Amino acid sequence: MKHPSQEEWMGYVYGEISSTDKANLSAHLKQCAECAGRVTQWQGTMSSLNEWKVSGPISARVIRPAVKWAIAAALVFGVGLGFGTAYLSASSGRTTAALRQEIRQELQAEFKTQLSEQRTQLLAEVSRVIDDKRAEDKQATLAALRQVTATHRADYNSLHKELETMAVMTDSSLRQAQQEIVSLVNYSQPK
Amino acid sequence: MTGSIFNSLSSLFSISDEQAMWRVRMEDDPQAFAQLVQRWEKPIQSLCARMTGDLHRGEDLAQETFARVFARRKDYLPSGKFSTFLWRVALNLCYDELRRITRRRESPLEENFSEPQAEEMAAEAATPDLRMVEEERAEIVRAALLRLEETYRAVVVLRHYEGLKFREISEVLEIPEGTVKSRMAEALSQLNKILSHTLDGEETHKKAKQSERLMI
Repeated sequence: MKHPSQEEWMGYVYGEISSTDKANLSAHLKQCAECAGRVTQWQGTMSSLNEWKVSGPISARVIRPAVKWAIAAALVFGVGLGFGTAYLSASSGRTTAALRQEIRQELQAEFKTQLSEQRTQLLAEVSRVIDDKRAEDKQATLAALRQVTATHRADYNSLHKELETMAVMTDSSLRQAQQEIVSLVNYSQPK
Repeated sequence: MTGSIFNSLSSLFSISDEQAMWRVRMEDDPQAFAQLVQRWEKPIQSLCARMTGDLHRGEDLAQETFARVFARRKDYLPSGKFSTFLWRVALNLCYDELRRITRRRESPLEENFSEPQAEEMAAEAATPDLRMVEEERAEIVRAALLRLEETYRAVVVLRHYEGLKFREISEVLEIPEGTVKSRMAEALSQLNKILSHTLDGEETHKKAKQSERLMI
């Protein structure tokens, strides 16, 4: 009898196999005690391996700088998307998606040109966060996030008003939005 | 509110690993780098913990991995997957670490646990506790893996625990896919021998204790 190779059996036990091959190999197992024995042994070992779990506590880390930037920008975008862009797209004739892309690109350009020092700081901060070995409790992270958003409700509302009154996206308005984002991000969270 | 913020986050800011790494390489972009770390630190920690048999060492090695990825960002070529690059950096650090450990010590790694294991086994015979049994079995598997040769262990960890396909593993290890598969088969056979030997010993020990109690 011609036996499948151990490479083929590995494809079989790990499910990396076409349904045709699987059917053929299954059929062989029914006829061949030797191969059936080997496969059963391998599968037994695979099952034993599953008894070693290394997932630690689900640790959401301290809000990293990247997330802070993203949250800050999302607050701006969120407002724009929820209210402003509908108004804007109607007036400018461009789609929401195109406007969103444009806003993002302009903001990124602004970030690049004016915020290089903050970038260096962020890099150092990222490294420090990565160096921090302590796992943060997920609840504490969410609580801190709520605190950030709640504390900045005032900033958020003024931002909201700012974007609401914009008839057209002008350079100066974008610059102001960008400054609001920077001040949101640079707020240091209470520990 | 929080939920919707996180939703906007992922839709606006999730870029591919390759795009992120490209930004890290070209612009030292910390945001992109942080995103990569967030996405990959758990799997890399898991790999390093399983390769060294040590959770804390695993965390340290994971940090070193990302530091090295950043340090070597200029070497990153987008022709390959970022994850392939990342797994390889992590694995090489694990190999380096394992070499350091064996040079420093005379005895093999798994001797570390043998003392507590003996105590645990004695305690278990007296009052079987489900969690203790689970921990014991995990310990046995951990030790068994450490007895595999490193490159065989790597295949097992990548395929069985991290779920990489054989083809991906062959790219990480830069060996043919067929070789990966035959190493896997070998590794499983070796593990089977080691585990049945250890578990048999444990079973015999348990049965002996049970029959002792019955006789009294």
